[in-house]
Amino acid sequence: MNNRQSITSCGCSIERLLRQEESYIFITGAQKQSDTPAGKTYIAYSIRISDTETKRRYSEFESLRRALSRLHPTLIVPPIPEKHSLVDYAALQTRVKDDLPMIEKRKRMLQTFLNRVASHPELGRDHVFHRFLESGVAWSDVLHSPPLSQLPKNPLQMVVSKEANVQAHKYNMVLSSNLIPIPSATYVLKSPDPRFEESEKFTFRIANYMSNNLDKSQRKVIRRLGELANDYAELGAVYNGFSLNESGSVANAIEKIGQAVDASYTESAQMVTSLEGEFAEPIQEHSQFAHIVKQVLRFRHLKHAQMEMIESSLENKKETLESLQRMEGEARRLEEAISRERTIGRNAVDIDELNNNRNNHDGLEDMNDPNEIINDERQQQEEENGYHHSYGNNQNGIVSPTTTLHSNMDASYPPKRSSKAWASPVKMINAMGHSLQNIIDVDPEATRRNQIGKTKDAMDVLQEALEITRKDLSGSSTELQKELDRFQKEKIKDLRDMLIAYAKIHIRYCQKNLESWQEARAEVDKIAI
Amino acid sequence: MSDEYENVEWNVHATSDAYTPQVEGDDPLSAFSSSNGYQNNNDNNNVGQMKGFMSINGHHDNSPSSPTLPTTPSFMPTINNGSQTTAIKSATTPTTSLPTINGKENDIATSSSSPSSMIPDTHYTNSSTPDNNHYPYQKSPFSTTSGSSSSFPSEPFIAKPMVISIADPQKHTDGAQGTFITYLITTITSLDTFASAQPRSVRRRFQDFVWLHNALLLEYPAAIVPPLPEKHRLEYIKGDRFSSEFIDRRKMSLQWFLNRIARHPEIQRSQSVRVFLESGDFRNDKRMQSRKVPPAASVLDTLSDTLLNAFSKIKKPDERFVDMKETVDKLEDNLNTVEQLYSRIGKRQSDLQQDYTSFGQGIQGLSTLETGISKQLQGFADVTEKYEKAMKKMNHDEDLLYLNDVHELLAYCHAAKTTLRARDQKQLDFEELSAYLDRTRQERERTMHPGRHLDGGVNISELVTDKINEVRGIDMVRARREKLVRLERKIKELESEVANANDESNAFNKQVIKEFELFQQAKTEEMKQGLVAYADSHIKFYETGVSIWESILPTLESIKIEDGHKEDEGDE
Repeated sequence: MNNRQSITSCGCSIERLLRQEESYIFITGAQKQSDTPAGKTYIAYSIRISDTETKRRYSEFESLRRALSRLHPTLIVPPIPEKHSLVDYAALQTRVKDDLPMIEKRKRMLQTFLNRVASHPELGRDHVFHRFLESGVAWSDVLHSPPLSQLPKNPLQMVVSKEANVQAHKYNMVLSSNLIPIPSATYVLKSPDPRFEESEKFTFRIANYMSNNLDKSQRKVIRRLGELANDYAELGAVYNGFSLNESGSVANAIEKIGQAVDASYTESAQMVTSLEGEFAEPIQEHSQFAHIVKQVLRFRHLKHAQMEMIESSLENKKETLESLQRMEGEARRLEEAISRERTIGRNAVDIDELNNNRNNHDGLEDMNDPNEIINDERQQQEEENGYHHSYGNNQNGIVSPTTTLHSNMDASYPPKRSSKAWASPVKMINAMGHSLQNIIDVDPEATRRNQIGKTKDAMDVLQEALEITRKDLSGSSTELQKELDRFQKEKIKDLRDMLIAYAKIHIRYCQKNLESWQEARAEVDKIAI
Repeated sequence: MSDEYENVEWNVHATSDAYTPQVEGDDPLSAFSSSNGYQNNNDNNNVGQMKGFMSINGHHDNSPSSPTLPTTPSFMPTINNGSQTTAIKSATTPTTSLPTINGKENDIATSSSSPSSMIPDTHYTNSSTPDNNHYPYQKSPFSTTSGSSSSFPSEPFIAKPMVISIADPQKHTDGAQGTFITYLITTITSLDTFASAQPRSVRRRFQDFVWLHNALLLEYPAAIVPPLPEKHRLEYIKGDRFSSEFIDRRKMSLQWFLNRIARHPEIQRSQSVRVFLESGDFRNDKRMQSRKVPPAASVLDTLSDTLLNAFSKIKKPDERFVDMKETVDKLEDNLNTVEQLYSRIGKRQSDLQQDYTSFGQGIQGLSTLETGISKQLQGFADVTEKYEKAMKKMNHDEDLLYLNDVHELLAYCHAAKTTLRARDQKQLDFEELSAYLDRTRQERERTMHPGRHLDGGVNISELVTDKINEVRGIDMVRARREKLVRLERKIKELESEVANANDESNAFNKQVIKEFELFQQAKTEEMKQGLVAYADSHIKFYETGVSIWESILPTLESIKIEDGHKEDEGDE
């Protein structure tokens, strides 16, 4: 609750306007404009709320929508009208901008978009949105200032929920760490949330159904009505001509019939327009909505995946650390043994040799352990795209633990074998050992310690990230669930309104036609026989 | 001779025209006398003028080579509807080859007026046999028409109440005749031609209608005989010939036919109609009646005459009939346009129905997804389906009651035009005869005053003929006298023919005028009927539309949107 209110109180003038009773955003006009006299023209839509007016073009609406969905990946940001299809471009070429019905349709749908955003409990309170409505604000400035400029490229690199007690909707240092795995969309959740699984399935079916079935079939009805309207126009003209060739009451009757048919034409055309605006467009919107819901659910899925991956990589780190610590312990024991031998009076070369031996021993004894780690790591690297890469890059300055571990282990095999081959000639081994040490690792002890330190650090980061993500996931899941519920209600309300509008449009159509045909009928009755 | 013409009614040519003879003016020939002059031109005709006629007849008495012929009284050239074109054509079609008109009274019994059967015989066996049939197919018409016009003028040209209804189609299967449908036809009328005023019912099949239609065509050539539905209207073929759809439509069209008969003051009294509607032994009565009704002119006869006349034009069109034709043409055009447009609209409407159906199914599908409001969505889908059904019903009614009406009216227009053409033919006959009479008179003038030429010049061919005759040593004076006698007789015959044709034409005109009034009346009535059905089908649809869409509103409004406590929370 507290968190939410923190968002709501930007208190700007637009915010106040929006919070007024009965506030409604209108798109009052669409003008062709051009920034430079010779430049490309575009359509600027005049947006008016109360007495504040500003002009935005379609691409700005597009970027507003994108910005809002980047800021709020768990919210269902209303759709804007689709871009012109390629077919439209092919058919109309450059005249698309002059296509009045298209512009009118966009006006209507953009207006719906703005009002849907405004009435959204959270999006409507977003200051970015307010800035969009504010007059005299260059949209590009908004895009290049916080919070939009602070957004990470990947929405997973920020916190979206208020539950995490971290500043939300902003580039998050912890989550942006290279240690944090980025899941792929195909990641299969280990413990999926049944609620959202259901939602996903449902949304998927609705999305398909809306766009493939309902939208198509109602479009067909509208198109056919339009064609029929034209036929009626023609028929009305025919009757009119017919009446001129007749006389008396027959002429009057035919004329009236012609007028009734003309009325059918007018009414059909009117019905087409009404259905277009009050039914077809909302259906299209909801077909778009369904896809948006899919995206939001996918985001949650990724968030969940991210959490699971953080968990598992934390697990891995833990294992790595354990094995490193085991090695460390082992090394310490050896060192103790060596120091005991030193007191007996061995030279440094022997130490080296022993060291080598120790390595060999280590190799032989703990061969399984490190190997598993390597395998694990490799698997993990395969799973977590780019993880290893960025990981490695980051640690470039120091020695990458993984790389070190690898080279260490890989490099330690040959000595082991060679030590077996040249077991007795100590000098040979010494030479080998030296050169190997020089090539591979200057100081394995330091490296290992370094590794342990790094792993511990990484574990800290992961631990913190896991905390955040876990909270964020649970918070955003709850919010998402609320959002989905809210949206479902909105959808039902829209559906209800659409269906009522559909029925009312038909009632009106039938009534109007009924009247004109009744008039015609009365005139026909006057024909004297 | 002008005296004789004084008695003649020249209705057809009420206005003066130089070409056709006029009673009121001078001798109709005066025009020609002045132009053709009174040249003493021996007994030779103006060969150039007559050649067209003579040559095809094959017995040119007045050609120089056949000087003896003039004595034969039957040499008369045929005077068909006169134009050369016609005549030439007729030479190739024996049935239409034209009977000579040897000035007999042409008012012979109807039974003898079957030209197609008689004429060829008389004409070919002995071309000189006087034949009183000029226009075979018009002969009988005229006599009938004149008969009826004599019996009717006194009474108002109004039909007596008569209701004929057709119902209950039944399928019969007969070994010999195959499968056919009969309809129950019930007549209620007070007409005295019928046995009683009680309703009586008979069963008739389509073939019987065809018989009646043909009988009426023969009996009333000047009437606009109601057309029968086409045997196979394209739409009919869509289905089985015995499908209920086909039978219903045919029944409907036959009802139109019967209505039109019942409305016609003359046709309703026809014996053929009576037999058709009343006879309990139709097969026999039909045969009896067929004998009374003049047998149909052979199809070829009628057809070729019509075709032939298509080439000749009326010289003096009568505005009244021109107007009539124009009226019918316009009506036909308009009806045609409506019919054509509807063939497209009908298709579109049925497409729209399909679209509504699939939309309804779409909503229904949604009801299985949006389980919260599935009941309401289902209700909406049902309403959409009902709406689609209502639309279908409207289109069906529109088609059956209005477009059929339009179609039947179109057929009636065709019938009216056929009658108007027949009338034109009558006038054409008269005009041709008159023209021929004029030419004959001219010839007489020339024979009486040989040598004189129209413009003072000398008619070369006549001169040559005269010379030849002189050379042959023919007695010019005697030949001329003979020719004059012959011409005189010919003129007499022609005058009588012209008078006759005039009578016929006038009577035909009168009948057609009455017929046209009837037609207009019937048209108005049928238009009204059709338009009423048209308007009603729409009214019914829109009424249904309003009520079904209104019925779903409460259901839709009942969709509860649970209180949006989320928004409330946010607001507080």
